[in-house]
Amino acid sequence: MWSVKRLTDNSAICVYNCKSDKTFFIDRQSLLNLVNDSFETVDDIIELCEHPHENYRVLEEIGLFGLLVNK
Amino acid sequence: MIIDSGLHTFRIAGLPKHIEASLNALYGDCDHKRFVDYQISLVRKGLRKYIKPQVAITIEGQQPFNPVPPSKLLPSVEWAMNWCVAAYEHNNLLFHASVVEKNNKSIIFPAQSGSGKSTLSTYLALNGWHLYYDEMAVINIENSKTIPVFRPSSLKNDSIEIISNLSNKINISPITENTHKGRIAHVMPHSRQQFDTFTPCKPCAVVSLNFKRDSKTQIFELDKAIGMSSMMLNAFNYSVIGKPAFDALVDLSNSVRFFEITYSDMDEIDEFLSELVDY
Repeated sequence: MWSVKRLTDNSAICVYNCKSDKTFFIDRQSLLNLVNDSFETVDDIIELCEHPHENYRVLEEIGLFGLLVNK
Repeated sequence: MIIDSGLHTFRIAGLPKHIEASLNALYGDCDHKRFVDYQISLVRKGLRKYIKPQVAITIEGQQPFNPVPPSKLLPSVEWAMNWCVAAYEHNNLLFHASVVEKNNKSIIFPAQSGSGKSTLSTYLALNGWHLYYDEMAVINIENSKTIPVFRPSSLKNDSIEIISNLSNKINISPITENTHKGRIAHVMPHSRQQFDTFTPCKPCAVVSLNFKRDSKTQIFELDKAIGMSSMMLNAFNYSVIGKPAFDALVDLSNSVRFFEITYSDMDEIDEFLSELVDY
């Protein structure tokens, strides 16, 4: 349902919702909310988005898509 | 008559002689026997044939514009062709922008009314650059390349004199007075033979322009997120195409630099943009 892409200047993550046809930008400030023991910095999370298909479950588990619920 | 823009062909029926002559002067000789993509008809109806004459423009049976007097038809025909592209072209990603090219790299100027994008792109096209389309950036979804389109630039009000004073060899249409956008003239900076050598190419920068009379040139580089979101605001068919458009726009955003420029001196901008395409 979600398609995730990284912007190469690391200014944001772009997420596209295939069901609602909406595009979201998650900026670095918002990504701070997802930092945890395994992914200690915003750049660690952005790096996950380099290979979104392989890391889809991890992105789901850390709550990336949860940031977009009700938006 | 039939106009071939390189991307689409338009059959325009019912043209008054003076408008046909202006279009022939802009586009050169047109082929009269070929398949066309869009049918645009100019129709005079009822009493308005005789009393304060008005011409209605119908496109594939639709009438998207109000009728206009015959003297104001040239810009309306150009707008009708733009309307066809914006309404029906969904194989490529379309943005309201103008595009210029040099060294096989293009630069996209997203449109903001009064930003001076048409004046600047026409100026550049008359000074060594190639104009790919003054009204839209047409981007191939598969490879993010900008596609050249053989159409004139549209100049308004003071821009007409700024450009026409540059040289007496410019292919410029007669001025149409008192349109809802003011005075309008069209400039075709390249011949058909020149246009036929243009090829699709990758953009290297997206530049938001802000013309301010007598201002010093100020150039700011923008985050890709800000640049991409401003591109989305200027997109015609992003939501129609859906995910392929998202993929193409992210790819494009990752391959270009985004700038915001305040300017009054077009030579300085030419110099800056030339550095970008030489890089």
